[in-house]
Amino acid sequence: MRPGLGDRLLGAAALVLLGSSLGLAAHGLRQRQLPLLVRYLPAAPRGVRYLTLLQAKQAFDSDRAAFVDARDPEAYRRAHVLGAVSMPAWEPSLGRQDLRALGRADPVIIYCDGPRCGAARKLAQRLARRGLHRLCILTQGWPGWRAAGYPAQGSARR
Amino acid sequence: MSLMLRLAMGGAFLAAGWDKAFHPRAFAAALAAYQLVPERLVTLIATVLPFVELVCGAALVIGALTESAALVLGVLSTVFALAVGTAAARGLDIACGCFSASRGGAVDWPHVALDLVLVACAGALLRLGPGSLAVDNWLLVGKAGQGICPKESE
Repeated sequence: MRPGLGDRLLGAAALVLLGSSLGLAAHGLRQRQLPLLVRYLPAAPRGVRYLTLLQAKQAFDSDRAAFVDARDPEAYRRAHVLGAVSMPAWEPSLGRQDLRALGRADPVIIYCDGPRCGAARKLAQRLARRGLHRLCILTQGWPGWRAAGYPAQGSARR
Repeated sequence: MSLMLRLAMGGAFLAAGWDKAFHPRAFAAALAAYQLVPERLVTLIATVLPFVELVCGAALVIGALTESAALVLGVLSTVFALAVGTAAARGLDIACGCFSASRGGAVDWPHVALDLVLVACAGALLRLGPGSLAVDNWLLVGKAGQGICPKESE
């Protein structure tokens, strides 16, 4: 006799419940636990500074800073900080030429879609691993820069 | 046929779940990169999903609650196919996180095809049943329809 739909669903619920319980039990046994039910953000590396809009603008005006856009390429194409290079945080490879250029900049200011986005932290982590120093994150990100009316470029500059 | 499908599909999910269960941080990072899951749920899903895969994979291999396990894994494979497909369509160049938390290549259409094959396997198992050498055959339903747990009225 084959089980009916109700029995299958009941069995499926039991399997999911068992798997979830085991997962949570294993989580409880881990020494370095991932915090559950909090916003997932890759940890920012040590030494990364967070900049206000004003500090970022002063660095922009100094001409020694480099801006790095950690958002996806489409968002970068639409509009970005004037002169910023695009380095999507999740892209597996980082351009060597861009890395070399960033190595000479002071500071390197990374931004994404505002204080709630994790892409800038993620990219800061990757750049630090590649030996870059003087990394900063623009806390307000692109929305803050745009709202302040600071220099920008792109196909749909607003 | 059912036995082969069970072993292949169950083995695939056991292997996939095993690596992810031991590397929840890497899996959470891979999951977050899809930008499909709410940020608050990323770590919870990365914690429990590999174990659901392991439990259902093991259930398929031994043939216990076969059709329920096939149902869960079929639904999961459908979700995976959609996630990988939309990521590939969006042009995201991210790690797949499909059969390993951090290795296994970037999202691409072959991964979508593989997930769809798994969906087809799950569908076939739902249609064919557990087949031979399955715990279901011995425990849940006896040969004459009398299981080891007789009805209360009997």
